[in-house]
Amino acid sequence: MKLNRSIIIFTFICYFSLVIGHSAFALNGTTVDPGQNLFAPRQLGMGGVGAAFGGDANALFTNPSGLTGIEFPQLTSASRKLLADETQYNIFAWAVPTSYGTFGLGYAGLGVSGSLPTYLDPATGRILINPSQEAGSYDNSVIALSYSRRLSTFTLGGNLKLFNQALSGGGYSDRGTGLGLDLGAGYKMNHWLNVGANLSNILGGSIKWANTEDKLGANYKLGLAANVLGATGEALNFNAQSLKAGFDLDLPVGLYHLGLEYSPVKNIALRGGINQEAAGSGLTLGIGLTNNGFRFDYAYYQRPGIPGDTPHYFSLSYVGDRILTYDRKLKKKEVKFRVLHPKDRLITDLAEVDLTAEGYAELLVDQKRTWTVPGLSATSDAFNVTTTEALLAAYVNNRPVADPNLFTAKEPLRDGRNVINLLGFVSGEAGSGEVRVLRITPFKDTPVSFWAIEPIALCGVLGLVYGYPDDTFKPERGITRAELVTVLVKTLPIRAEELTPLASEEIFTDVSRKHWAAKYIVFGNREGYVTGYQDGKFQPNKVLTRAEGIALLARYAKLAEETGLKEPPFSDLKADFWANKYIEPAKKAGMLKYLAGKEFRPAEPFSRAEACEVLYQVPNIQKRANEWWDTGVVSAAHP
Amino acid sequence: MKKTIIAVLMLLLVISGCAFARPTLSVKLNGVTAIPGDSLSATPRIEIIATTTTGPVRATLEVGSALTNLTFVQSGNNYYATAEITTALADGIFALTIEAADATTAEAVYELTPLYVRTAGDPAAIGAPLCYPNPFDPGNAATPTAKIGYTLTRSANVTLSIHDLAGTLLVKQSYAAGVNGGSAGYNAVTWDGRSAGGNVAGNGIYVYLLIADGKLVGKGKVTVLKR
Repeated sequence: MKLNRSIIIFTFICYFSLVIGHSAFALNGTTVDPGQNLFAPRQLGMGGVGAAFGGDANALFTNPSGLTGIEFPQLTSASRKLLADETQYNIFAWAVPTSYGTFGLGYAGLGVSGSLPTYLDPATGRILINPSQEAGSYDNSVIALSYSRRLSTFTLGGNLKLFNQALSGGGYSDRGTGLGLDLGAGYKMNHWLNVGANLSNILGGSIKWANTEDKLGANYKLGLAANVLGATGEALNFNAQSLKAGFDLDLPVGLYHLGLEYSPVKNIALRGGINQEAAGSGLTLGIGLTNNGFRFDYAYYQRPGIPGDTPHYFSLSYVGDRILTYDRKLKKKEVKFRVLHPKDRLITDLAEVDLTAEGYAELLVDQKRTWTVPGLSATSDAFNVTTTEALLAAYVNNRPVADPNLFTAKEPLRDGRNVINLLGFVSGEAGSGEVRVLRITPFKDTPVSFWAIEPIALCGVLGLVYGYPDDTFKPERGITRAELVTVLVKTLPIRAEELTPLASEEIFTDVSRKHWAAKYIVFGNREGYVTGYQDGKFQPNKVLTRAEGIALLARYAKLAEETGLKEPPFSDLKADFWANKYIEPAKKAGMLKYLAGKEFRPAEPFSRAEACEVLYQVPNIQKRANEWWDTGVVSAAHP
Repeated sequence: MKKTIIAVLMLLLVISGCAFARPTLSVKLNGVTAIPGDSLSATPRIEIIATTTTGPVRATLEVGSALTNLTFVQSGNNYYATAEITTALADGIFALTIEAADATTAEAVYELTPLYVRTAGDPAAIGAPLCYPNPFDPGNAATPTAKIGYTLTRSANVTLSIHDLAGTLLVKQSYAAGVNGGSAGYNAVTWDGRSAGGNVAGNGIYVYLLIADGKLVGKGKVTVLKR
């Protein structure tokens, strides 16, 4: 469908060109338009193609719509002798892209002098120079005012041309003037193919002299341009190279132009082509060298039918270029280690650990980028960039390693907290890192692979829970009301002398002052963690259900109750379940991760392992655990 | 007495003048009035016209060391003779001498020298090719064509191409070696002021190139100015 649309549009361009061009041909004049014969080295090096090639100020003469392809203001000029050095040719083109379109100004001029006045020798009938008269001279120039604009995938452009001719010599002087109009169009058929049409002097026009009128020759070009390697060279993508091929057909005379432009790198263009003109066809070669916004072009072309004609064409152009420069200042250099094994805060029962780590220096660079268009503008931005640098040396627990950038070591572990120290050096800086490992002797029923080994081990380290004398933890055993409230009170920073007197307060009929958890129960009741039953009993040995346990811990964590829930927090809970107001905030606080994807089963016994897991997620406990990992000291714990 | 002496002297003068009248000679080389310094083809065709009221005319032609008796055909007071040198002349400098006498035995001598015969080397043009009239008005009935004249050092296949200022070819005219346009010596060819497509050239100056045996040997300019 897209291709069909492209074909229709292309056909329209061709038809438009033919209709206009044919009508213009009917008015084909007999004077020369200096702008129709472009001897710009870039175009000439490519066999004279240009109707579908844009991005160059010379497009003003080959197809003004191509000026939309330029990014910067461009200026180009060329000057040389033509026709075995008999005539002078000058060309100048200036184009400025703006937000309103691209504006251009062009000049092309041809001049000659030395047309000798003559007379016939009556004696011999031969032609002789008449020395009494001045030789004739002739200037033919055109000034073109150009405007072009991009309309989606179309480009349109036009030139209003002012012609001026002057002819003078011995006994005669005449001047001719006229107007002409060029229209150009381009269409990007796909990401690699452009078509273009240029209708020069589409309205015919004429040069008016004192006694006569000469018609301006109409000419139109139809062209194709292809990015052979793809729009950005992706077909063979190295060195940002590009290969463009073009074909132009001059109608109605039927002359063709074929050319290639290959850029192995950004600043060099190699060109070749075949140029056909009325006198025959010839090969063309060319090269373009761009530096700092200026481009030098050279073309070699031996014009057919003009033996001895100088085949060298030169031009110098300002094409603009966005040159990117960097100004970098080191802001910070920091030695870092990426420990691949073991993970920090590893809990293990092994006597040693295999360490694998990468060392590097991280450089924070204050980078300023500046884009300069030589002679026109400069813009810049600044931001921080992070890069890395290799370490010069590294040490593990003060032992040097062979490769500071990637090293391994076996480190012995003692019971409890172990810290493996890493030290690295880079030019001008030193830095350290560490890996912390907790070596434990696990309970018989909670090996290091047990799902809740971390909370059980850390709660044990913090003195919150203990095992049984038989060296078991009984993780699946339900925790009693007395046990849990004891654990919770132990987490609080209360001195023993504050707590002990509480045991004498018998506020529950089934908790005597001699009960091992009496002081904790009284304190827990006072703080609102637990309450007794209506019969005045506490039932300290009653195993908590999961719902009760979570509710107790939510109150302990001071989580705000959430009432009026529309959806229960777990699928197996009823919307009006009494503990939802505790379960929901606990879930949101991340305390119920171990139940993710599972049913809540509120009546299940609340196991010791679960109690450790949920308690371990409470921020207060997390903070204490982190402090222990950092310092090895248990802080703010109740004895 | 004085008057009688003067009358007798005048009569003697008239009588002696009639007795010593010579034929006048007109000579063309390959159809062109030659001048000293011209090039001569190796096998030139020489046309002689002797004009006298007292024919017949007898004459000899000497080119180099070869002497040829000429045979004339009378047409009124004009006597025409044509000589073709069939034995090719060697490269060098020649003199052409014609001695003619009529019935009164009065002699006329025509001598043209130097003449150059060049058959070796590349052809060249002597002097610049010139166009007449210049400026040229193709619409002028008196001079509907322009004449372009040039002198070649030797016969050659010649192409005369006319270009506009940008070098675009308007028209190309070719001449074989030995015929007008490609002969050694002076050649004169014409241009009608039109392109190969028949369009009249606009006002301006056009450049013509003279290419002999593939080499550019001369170039000139013609001004077209329609009045």
